[in-house]
Amino acid sequence: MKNNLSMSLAAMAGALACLLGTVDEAAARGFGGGGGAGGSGFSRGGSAGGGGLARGGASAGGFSRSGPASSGSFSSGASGASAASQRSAQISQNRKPTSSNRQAQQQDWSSTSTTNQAQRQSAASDNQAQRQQAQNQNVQTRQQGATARTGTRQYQASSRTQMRQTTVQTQSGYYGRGYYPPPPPPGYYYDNDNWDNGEVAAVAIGAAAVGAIAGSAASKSSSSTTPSTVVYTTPPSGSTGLPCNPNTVVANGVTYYQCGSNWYNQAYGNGGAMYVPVPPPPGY
Amino acid sequence: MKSKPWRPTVRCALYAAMLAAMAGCAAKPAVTVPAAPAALTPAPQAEAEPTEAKDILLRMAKFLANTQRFSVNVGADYDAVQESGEKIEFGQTLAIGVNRPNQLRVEAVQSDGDKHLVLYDGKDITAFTPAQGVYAQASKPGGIDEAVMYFLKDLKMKLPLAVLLVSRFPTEIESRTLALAYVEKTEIQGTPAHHLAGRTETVDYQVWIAQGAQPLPLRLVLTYKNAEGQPQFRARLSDWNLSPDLQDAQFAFAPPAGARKIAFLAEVPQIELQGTETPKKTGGRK
Repeated sequence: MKNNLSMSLAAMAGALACLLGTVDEAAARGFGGGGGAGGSGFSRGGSAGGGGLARGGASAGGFSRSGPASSGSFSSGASGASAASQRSAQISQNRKPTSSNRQAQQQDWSSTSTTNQAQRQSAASDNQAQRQQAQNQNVQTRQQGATARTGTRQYQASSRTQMRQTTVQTQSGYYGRGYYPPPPPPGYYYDNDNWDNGEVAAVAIGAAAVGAIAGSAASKSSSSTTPSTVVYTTPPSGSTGLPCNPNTVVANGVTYYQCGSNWYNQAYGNGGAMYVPVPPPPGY
Repeated sequence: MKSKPWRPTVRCALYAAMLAAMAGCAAKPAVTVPAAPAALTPAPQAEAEPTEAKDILLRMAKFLANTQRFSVNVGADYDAVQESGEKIEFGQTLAIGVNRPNQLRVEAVQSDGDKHLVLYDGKDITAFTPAQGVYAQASKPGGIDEAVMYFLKDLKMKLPLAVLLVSRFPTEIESRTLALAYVEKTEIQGTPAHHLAGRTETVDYQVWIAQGAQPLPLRLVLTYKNAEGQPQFRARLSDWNLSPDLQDAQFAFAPPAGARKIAFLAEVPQIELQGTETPKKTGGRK
């Protein structure tokens, strides 16, 4: 009996050891598997697999809903952090390894096709140095942008576009041979990888969500062409998004809210209406 | 292991079978999988279904891009990484209606109950929040592709899974994917599906695609691998209808009485705050 129990325990331990070993091997295989149907090169293990969770009692109040995952986009603007300096640092850190891994990753993607693989690998090797150079230039541009973000935003955009055009030209050699589609037709954004990247955090700096604006003064679109007039109105009540009970001024059809030396407009962002700090209205 | 690789394998299988049998004794009865929706039941096909991951992915993308009109409901959850590093999950539902080439309607309800509406009627794209009674509108004739790209890229607005809605979806997914693999055959809500895993430069994605004549996406998981905390966006796509009854009025925005038009945030010239006054924030990340 004792022997049977010992054998059972040994069998269970062995089974666990074998299973763990299998998981480790699967984890080591990672995502590099090819495209064969029914492939099993994926590990079901990992910290999230158990679903274990110590539930806290906090409600959603006070928690941020924002972040890159809230966009549900197929691309990301990297860190999603709100501070420009952090964005720059994180992008620099994140992009280099990504760039250095790109060659291997593309080989994975190409491994799903059995044709032209040798040609692609050769072209990828040729392009690696060019891609690294372009990446370094991009990092430098972003670091410049961190120190004078607003002024250089357009410069960054054009620089990025230029870099991407170079990359696309480079990739056309890589993907040439009828494997990848041609560049988009005129009228489309050239830097396709970015149009849905959810880069909204930088825009929303300083913006404040509106709690309830019941009874607030009427506001019109900034695109209104109403002649410049300045009208004092009753401050909106319940404007919990502002740090004060503001004075309200309407100029050129746009409602301005004043708190001390700061002026705000109401604008529509992700999540609805927000107050954003703006330059003073004409004459202030 | 090197000389006789089959023996440990057999032993492992035996042990695993024993363990599985023991676990099975205490396991709960298997969950009943609901019947597959009639619209997605694999039908006899004229052509063989592809088996390569890339072919399956592009077949789905092309099928969706070539579908003239459709409606679908999306239940999505996503991680919001807090300043402390803690991940908090929020959710939202989307009711999407597409009538190519130039009509789009997306009704979003957040997990806290906030509702938002995005409409495109071929001329104007409008975002409306009923509870606040405010809307913003921008002129963008051309079609869904142009309007959606303008909405996200220029107006800096969010529209989850936007890339699935544009007719250039096949081009987008193909050009962005750096690696792709077939994970397994499985089922999503009773519908047989292909499980694929792809990698782009910034996002790792998994997609479950219905097998059969209508290769529609049934589930998506996006992992923002370069972002702090590597948050995920997880979506279940259900109630696909490829011949919905969509009327023009559903895509045109008629402002309710008292609704105020304001500018999109991206259109407002912002400045840094002066002094110590700071608007109250609703949260955020460092």
